Amino acid sequence: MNRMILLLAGALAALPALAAPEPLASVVVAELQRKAAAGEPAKPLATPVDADVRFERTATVLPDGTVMYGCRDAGRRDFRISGGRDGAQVQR
Amino acid sequence: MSALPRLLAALLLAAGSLPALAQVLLTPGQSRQFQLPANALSTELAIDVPAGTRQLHLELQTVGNADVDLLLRFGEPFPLNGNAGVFGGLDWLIEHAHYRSISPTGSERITVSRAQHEPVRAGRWHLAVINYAGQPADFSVLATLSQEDPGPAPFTVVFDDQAGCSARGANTFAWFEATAATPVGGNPGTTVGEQRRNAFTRAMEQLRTELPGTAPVRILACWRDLGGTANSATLASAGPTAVYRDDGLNSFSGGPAERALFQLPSLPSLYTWYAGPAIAQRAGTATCRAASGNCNAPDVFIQFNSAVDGSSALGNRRFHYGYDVPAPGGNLDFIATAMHEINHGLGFFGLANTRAEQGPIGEKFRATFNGVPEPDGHNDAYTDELVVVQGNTVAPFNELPLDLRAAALTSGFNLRWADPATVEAPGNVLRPQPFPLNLPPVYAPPNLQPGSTLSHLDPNTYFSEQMGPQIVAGARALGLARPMLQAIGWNSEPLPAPQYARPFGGQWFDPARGNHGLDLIRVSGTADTYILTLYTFDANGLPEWYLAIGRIVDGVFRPGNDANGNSLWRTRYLFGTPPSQEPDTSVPGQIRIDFNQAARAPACNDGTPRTGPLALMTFTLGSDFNLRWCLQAIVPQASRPATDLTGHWAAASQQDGGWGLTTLSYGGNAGSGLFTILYFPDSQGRPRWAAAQTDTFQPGQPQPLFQLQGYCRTCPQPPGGAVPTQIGQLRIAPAANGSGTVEFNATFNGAGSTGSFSRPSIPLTRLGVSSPGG
Repeated sequence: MNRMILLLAGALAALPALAAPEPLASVVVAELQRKAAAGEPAKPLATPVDADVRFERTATVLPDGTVMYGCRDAGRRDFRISGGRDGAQVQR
Repeated sequence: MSALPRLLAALLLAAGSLPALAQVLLTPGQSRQFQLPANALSTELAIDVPAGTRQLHLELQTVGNADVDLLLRFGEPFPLNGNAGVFGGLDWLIEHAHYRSISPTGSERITVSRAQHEPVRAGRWHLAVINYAGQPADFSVLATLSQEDPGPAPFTVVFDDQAGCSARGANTFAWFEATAATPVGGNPGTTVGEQRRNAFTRAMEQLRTELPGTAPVRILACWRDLGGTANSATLASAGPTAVYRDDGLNSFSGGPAERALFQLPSLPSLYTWYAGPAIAQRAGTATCRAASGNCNAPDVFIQFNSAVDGSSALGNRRFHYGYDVPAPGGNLDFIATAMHEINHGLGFFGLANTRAEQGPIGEKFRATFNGVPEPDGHNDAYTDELVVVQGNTVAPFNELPLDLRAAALTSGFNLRWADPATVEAPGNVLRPQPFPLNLPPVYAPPNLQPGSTLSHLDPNTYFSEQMGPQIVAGARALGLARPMLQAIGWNSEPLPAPQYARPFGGQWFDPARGNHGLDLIRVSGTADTYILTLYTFDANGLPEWYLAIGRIVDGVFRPGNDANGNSLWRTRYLFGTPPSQEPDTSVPGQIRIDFNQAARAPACNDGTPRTGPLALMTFTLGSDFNLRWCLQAIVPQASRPATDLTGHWAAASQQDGGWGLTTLSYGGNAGSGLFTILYFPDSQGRPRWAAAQTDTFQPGQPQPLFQLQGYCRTCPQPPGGAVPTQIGQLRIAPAANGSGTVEFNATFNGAGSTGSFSRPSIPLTRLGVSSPGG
């Protein structure tokens, strides 16, 4: 066991030293701090529009036995905005 | 309004109180570790891109799970100073991004190629990094450059998401069916499930090779018993899981939740629907990163009919999983079926209504928000490429009224695709024909066929196109669908750098909101900083005015916030010696004016006649949230007289602030008309305005000064407009060199105001000019 630990220690020592993160010059955003304190979503949220539009590929066998491929929609053209900018309903 | 010189001074000196951050240049190919404090942002990072670069790729990866976002902008750095030396706000900063990766995680990616709206080009590209977490975030940033254009779009398929399939009424079982199978048609799979996966992957790979792209597209593939008869069955169905559009920043936070969408600054057309996979290519990142979604969610959903491989549909016919064509024995071409359906999922569809039970035929698509349809229909990228041909008359489909759009959808051959690259494509058999007969017709049979009509090519012209509505043999090449997809978000051709509008200064108004208006004047000595004065009416119809100062960047006037969180504000006049002003925070305000593509905005398509370049103003004042007015110039630049006295004027004395004037020259009877607005305080120090107008202006001539009894910002415009009452007199003598004199007296009438505000003849100085800068 001791030998294993020594080997492991040796292996760790052989690793290149990880660079320490460089601090970036920054601006603390009071708006984020305020939202965090108020429990509000931090981000200006995006709002995708869920789509349930579907196209159907169909096959019909013609009298001569060949197959005719067709395409139509599935009768669903349902799009919903699933959330608002202020975040209360946005699904993540 | 010599408050303005002081405000401008504050603006220009703001750098002293919020210093620009230093620049840390990234080295291509070299990952570096950084740290940001909690709830903080940095605009310090940048990379210099040399000439000849065809792709710039950025990766940001946090250590841990902090939500850190990455923004990218070409040219000038991201700004920090809003107004009065404070940070201008997160929305404001983000609006300056040309590209954004804003997933809810700390794993962000952006790729910029030559084919995107802001194409990669030589120069400095600036990064902004935002740490939303309440603790410091460590992260790495890696920038890489490539001399190659993007290769095949990185599609991925998910076969094993049982939960995702189940949520859509489907399952994954058929992908993993263990029944032994003999390799067929080049497909080496030895189980039925393996052959199915191989065949689907083959379909996806064939599409990828024809569609270059930078951003991942995630396809959820499932099976479901969709039934069928011996002679007819649905083979598969597919579509995108979300559609997107860029309305600019169309709402400010703080108001009630509404139909607000979001900005996707990389999309070519504003106010226009695009399919998710297409917007990913334009944004240079996955949809979940472009629009802050779930990165495990699919962009495209496809399900195949498991009944086809049983005995309940189409008799003994089965899916053919071979790579070869045609499918032997009358079996069904699985690969061609998959390719056709995936194409729809990538964006090959029009959203104009073709189904009577869902609204008027030809209606532009409206999403629902909280169960309520949006009030306005919007164009989609596909129908934007369509024209209606009748004889030699060619009209854009989306510019036609509803009845003509409906007629076009059943017109046979009149509905045509106008994108030049498609017209010139080798697969267009009509190419030798003269214009407009060379334009490819899309499917518009006399009897509407929902889902087939509009969203396919005409089968009588193109017999074997993959995106035909009916076809005997399954096509394995994209054919004309390739240039068509490129026109609706899948572009892979190099684009020039965009040119953004920068307006001439002057007065603007919304003809649907007459008597309200604004003047927007470039500050003398600056390239693109403008003063805005909004003259409007309060809830009682009494005149009031507000101010904003900010830059026009990328065609958008978007002032940053001041210390009170407002970008549109008013001041209270304090009578004294000398007089002074203080911020009046009783009416919070935000404003944004977008000069890009405003003619496409719903507010500009409300039936009100407007002329000339338009602009969309979105603003909030007090409880009037997110009003959207479509502006046009009151006097177009071309109609201004040679001696243009248009400008923004204040007392030359810095001790005499809190009031001012704007002038607007127009032709008038003798080429010397002048419209003047005086901004002044009432006896309570509230900001009020009055107007004077003459067609034959002579410097120093006395003019009656009128107060208007108007109507509130959300009230209907009354017939006849506002009612004028003379409240004083004005003598102004502005000179083209920026000096002048003014003399006035004004007695505001209403709201408990008593007494008058006046000045003897005093010198003026011009603060702003009407030319567009430079």
